[in-house]
Amino acid sequence: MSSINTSKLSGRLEKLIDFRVGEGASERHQIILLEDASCPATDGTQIFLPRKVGYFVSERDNELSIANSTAHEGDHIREVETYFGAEIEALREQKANLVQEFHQRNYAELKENPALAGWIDNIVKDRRIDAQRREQLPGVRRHYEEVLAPAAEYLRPSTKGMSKLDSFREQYLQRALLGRVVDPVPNEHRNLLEEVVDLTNTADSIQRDVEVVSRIYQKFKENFDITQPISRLPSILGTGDHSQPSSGQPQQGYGKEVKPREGREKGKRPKALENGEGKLCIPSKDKNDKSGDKKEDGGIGRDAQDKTNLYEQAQTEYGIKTYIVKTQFTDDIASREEGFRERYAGEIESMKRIFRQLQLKHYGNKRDFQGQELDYEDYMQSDLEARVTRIKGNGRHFKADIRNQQRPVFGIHADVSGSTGGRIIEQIRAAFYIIGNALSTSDWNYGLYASASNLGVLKEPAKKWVDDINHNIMGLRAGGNGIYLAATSSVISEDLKKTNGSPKCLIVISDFETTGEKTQEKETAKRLQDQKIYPFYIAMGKEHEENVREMTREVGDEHYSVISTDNFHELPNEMFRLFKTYGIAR
Amino acid sequence: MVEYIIKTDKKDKKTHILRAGTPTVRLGIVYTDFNLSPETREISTEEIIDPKTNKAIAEIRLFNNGNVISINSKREELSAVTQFGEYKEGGVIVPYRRLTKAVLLSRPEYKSLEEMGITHAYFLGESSPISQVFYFERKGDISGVVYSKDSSDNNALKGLALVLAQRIEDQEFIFEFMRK
Repeated sequence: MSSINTSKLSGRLEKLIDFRVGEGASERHQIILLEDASCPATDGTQIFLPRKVGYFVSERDNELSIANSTAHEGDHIREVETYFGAEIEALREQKANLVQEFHQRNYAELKENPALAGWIDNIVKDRRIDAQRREQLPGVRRHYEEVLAPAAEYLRPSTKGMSKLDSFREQYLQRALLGRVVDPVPNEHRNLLEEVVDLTNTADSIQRDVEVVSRIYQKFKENFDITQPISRLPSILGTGDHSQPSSGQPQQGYGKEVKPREGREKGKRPKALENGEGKLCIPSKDKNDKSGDKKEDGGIGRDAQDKTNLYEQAQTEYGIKTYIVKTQFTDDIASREEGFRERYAGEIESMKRIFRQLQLKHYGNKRDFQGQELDYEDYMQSDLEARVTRIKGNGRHFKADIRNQQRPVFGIHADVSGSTGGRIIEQIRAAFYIIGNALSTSDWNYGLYASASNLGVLKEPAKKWVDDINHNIMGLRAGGNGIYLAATSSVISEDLKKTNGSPKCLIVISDFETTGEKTQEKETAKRLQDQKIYPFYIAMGKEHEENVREMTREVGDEHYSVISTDNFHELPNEMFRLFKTYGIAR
Repeated sequence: MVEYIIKTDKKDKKTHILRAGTPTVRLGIVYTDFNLSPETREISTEEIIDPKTNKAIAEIRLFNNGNVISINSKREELSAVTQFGEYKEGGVIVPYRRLTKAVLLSRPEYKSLEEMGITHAYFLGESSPISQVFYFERKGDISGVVYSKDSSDNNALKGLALVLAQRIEDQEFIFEFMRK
């Protein structure tokens, strides 16, 4: 998946608004970014777009999709301006929602179900403006035919289980906007569908809409009980929100979301769509919400919330209690930490040096690349400091990072169940201590986890290293039942997936005498690999080689290593080797 | 130091290339202001016409070969701005610094440019015959001032790529949608 930030396209989208609505229109019609995956919409003055778009595999398809949606909403604005004419300035001064104003003026007499009238109006308008745009612009038609239409069709919900009214609405929407109906149309509604679609096609200007919508509404009234509330239908890609009228007012309805057609027509998923679940727009609760205090692009606060939810829900979702380890400051732990510091300081420093070199050599920090934009303020500051201190700055003042920058993400999970007592737990502490401290020199994300019956999070992957984590490591004790590999790996993989960076790798240190259901435990490595998380298992003790080989049978022998009892002290070095091999070189 | 001025004319839908001085000499004319509209006759290439001879002296190509814009003369690429934001002269990447309006106005010597509608500027290094390009925008028209280290008028054509790049790049979606 390659989701894109709409804000990065703002200059180009504004030009598109000028192109569709008229010169200078982008100054009057601002783009308002709502939550990720919200539906594009307009109130006749502003254009509401999702902050992030990630429907498609290709970044370009996502860009063109949001561009097409912007043009679509721009076309709505152009029509609304045509309709209200000279009156529009006065209405805008009153901050009126022009789409709502249009509905109130024209459909007030359709009292049985004004929401239905608004919904029909939206379809009539969408059909017309999309057809016109595709006719005028070959690139829009191409994008529609090759990318949008197949994806939109694939993502339509099944009409099975819907009320007769909802089912007919869905099929009308498909026929009017996509040109075909996915599920078979019931015989009793076949003629009716053709009639309403023919009527829809006669609405060639906004002035005709009132008449056409009223007639379609009348047809609905004659054939269905339209006093019943209508449910939310997912929007059709590229045409905005059909779960509620464009007025932005919540529609009367069940509040029941209609799900896309799960699992249907397997193998027919359009290539352009990403591999995950088909993403449909989330109807915005309040499109007029102009609050600017939302966190940008899932900021830190949001991430923290996600993480907390993940850990809290792990018990119900994955069957393993997960908690963030609370730092303890006891004399015992402090003295143990001091001992570790004295013993491993040299090793940590030497690893740090290598991590710094690896980071610079392979992925680099910010570098001055030809043709990149200069961070001038930084440059001036550095220049000033150099003059005062007579120490030359490093000269890297360019904003853009090198393009192939990758930030590996690691999860390190140690089994601390009763069987790891004695020397093993001591070496696990040492490995966590050395690697944790050494990696802190890089800006890579890495999480430290330990589990017996429950899963403890010593360091969350996206959080920066702080010395208190050393105390968490020192507090590790062996005890409890065996490791639940499948459940713990599910929680950790979710945690890693929510962390920025690539490639992703999960290292598990254990004897692989697992406690969970055997088949599931054995499939864990394969499942991780399928999720693009590179699994690596380290077995502590030669006698456990058979276990670990069995656990990695489906992914290959290169996914495990065994440390014999005599060489337990090599665990930190083995992990360091894995970082170099799988974090950097891959 | 020779100064060239490149300016678009929204009203006449033209772009003029001038050598500043006494007198100011018109070196080239392009029959578009590079604002794409449904009436735009050709969206991929535009010729730069010598007003004296009425013959094409160079060609401007948009969104071609990984370039946002390239200026070609006698089958050779004079200059180009790539989709990655690199500036090339004769196929070789030339380093530059792009200074934003805020940065420029923070320096006293450029303060007066604000009322002229400065939006950004490019400062080029030793390897280019162009030293600086200033970009102004006002009421839908753009003008660029190209400072050349020598008196070759080809440098004005080279600077044209940098002057027009932003306008062209901003219209990427329109271009994509209009492309047949």
